[in-house]
Amino acid sequence: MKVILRTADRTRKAEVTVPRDQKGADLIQAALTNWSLPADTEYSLVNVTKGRTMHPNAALAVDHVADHDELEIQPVLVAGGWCGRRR
Amino acid sequence: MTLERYARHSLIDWFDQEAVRRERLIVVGAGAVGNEVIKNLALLGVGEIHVFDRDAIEVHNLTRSVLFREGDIGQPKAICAATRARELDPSVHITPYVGDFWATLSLAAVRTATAVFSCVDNFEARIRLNRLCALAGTPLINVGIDSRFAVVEQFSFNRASRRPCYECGLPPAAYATVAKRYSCGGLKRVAAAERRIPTTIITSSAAASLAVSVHLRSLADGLDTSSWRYFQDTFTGHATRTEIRANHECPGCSDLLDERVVVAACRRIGATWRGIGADCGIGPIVLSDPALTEVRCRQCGVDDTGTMLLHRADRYDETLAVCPHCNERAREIRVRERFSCEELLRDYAGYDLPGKFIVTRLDEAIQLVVELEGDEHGRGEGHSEDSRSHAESGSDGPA
Repeated sequence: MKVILRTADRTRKAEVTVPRDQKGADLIQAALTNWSLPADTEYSLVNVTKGRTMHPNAALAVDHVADHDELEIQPVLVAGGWCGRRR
Repeated sequence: MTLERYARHSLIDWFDQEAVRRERLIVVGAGAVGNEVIKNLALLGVGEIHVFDRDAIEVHNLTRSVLFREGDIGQPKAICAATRARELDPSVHITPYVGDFWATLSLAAVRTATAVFSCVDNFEARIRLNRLCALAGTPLINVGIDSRFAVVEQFSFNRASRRPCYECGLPPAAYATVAKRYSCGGLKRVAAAERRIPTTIITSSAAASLAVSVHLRSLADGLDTSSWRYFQDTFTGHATRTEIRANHECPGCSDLLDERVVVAACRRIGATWRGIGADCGIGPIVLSDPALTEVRCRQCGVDDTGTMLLHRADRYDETLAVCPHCNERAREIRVRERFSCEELLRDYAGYDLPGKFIVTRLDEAIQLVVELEGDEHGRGEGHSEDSRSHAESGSDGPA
């Protein structure tokens, strides 16, 4: 199937052909490598066409991704303030 | 409260000042985002705000914290934020709590709150707060930022059904980040360092405004049955709203049953547990915080388990593996979080359960959550008949 993959800042966007059993995590990894995204950040994948988050370990077909769906790679934002435990 | 103060709010057709006044909100984290959330809530005139933070104000906080001043450096963030927010609206009841929220925020307090704002800055704290809210059935608003993006996630937990939680949408890499701070045995790594993420007031104020707005709308519209992520690019204004889907293998909520009974009980293992086990067919008991069950040196053979039995593993670091008797890194350390009721009664009677709470099943449909009361010293008084009798005579068990 063909999907459109883009970064959250929309500076990177590509139409890619992927097998239906490809996992979301593989797409994230490919984007990290090809687009040189910061490696010290965790990412999640959302299907902006369907308006739903995706499970990185699920195959695209199982995650109800369809041809020409637009998928966005979002950094998992963890900053905010401190009150948890640390050494 | 003077009505004139809220006169402009009353002109907004969907704004219900009395409903806002009835709110009892918890804000965990009084840093950059927490400051903005607390400020917004105070100006809106909410009834109660409970602020949790363990840190003191540092000079670099001042560029992102509307409630802090230079003269506040060194003061506890929670107290200072509460004091300044009270100045914004003296009729708002604001209570600060200084310390690790895992120790200072009870499950009972979460259950009586109308919502919890997660304004912390690390995965571990977010995961813990998510589990507290999911167990309590209290809505959670998770807020995160970096130097460009802002995210707000709304989890409409309630006590009638399971809802997708924070961990449902968390990538496995996040757990790897948390794991870097711990050895495989659950002990802390000595040299683990937190990565600090630079942010500005722009993203923290944008995120906090959206977070409070989302919650305010839920008062007007009622809670949605779905969980949602709002992701905003503060450079371009682009935003997405996506539904967070349930993950049936979620480590945070896949074991959660729709029906949960939450009680408080003494942490001492005693006869009341036996009664529950026999009468209700209690399932495996899962501790909120993994515990040490064995500390024995392979080299010199000294067994120090007795002095540390059922202590929280995360109270120790990797140096525990070094035996103080022979100075060899030869200690075998066993850490567990899952026990049977029979096993606890047989092997650990008279000891104290560690951590914040335990979770078990009363049957296939009902989950029992026991919040553990009393000081957590994780040290029983041995297996003597005296201590066992003392434990058995107590009436503060989970029954």
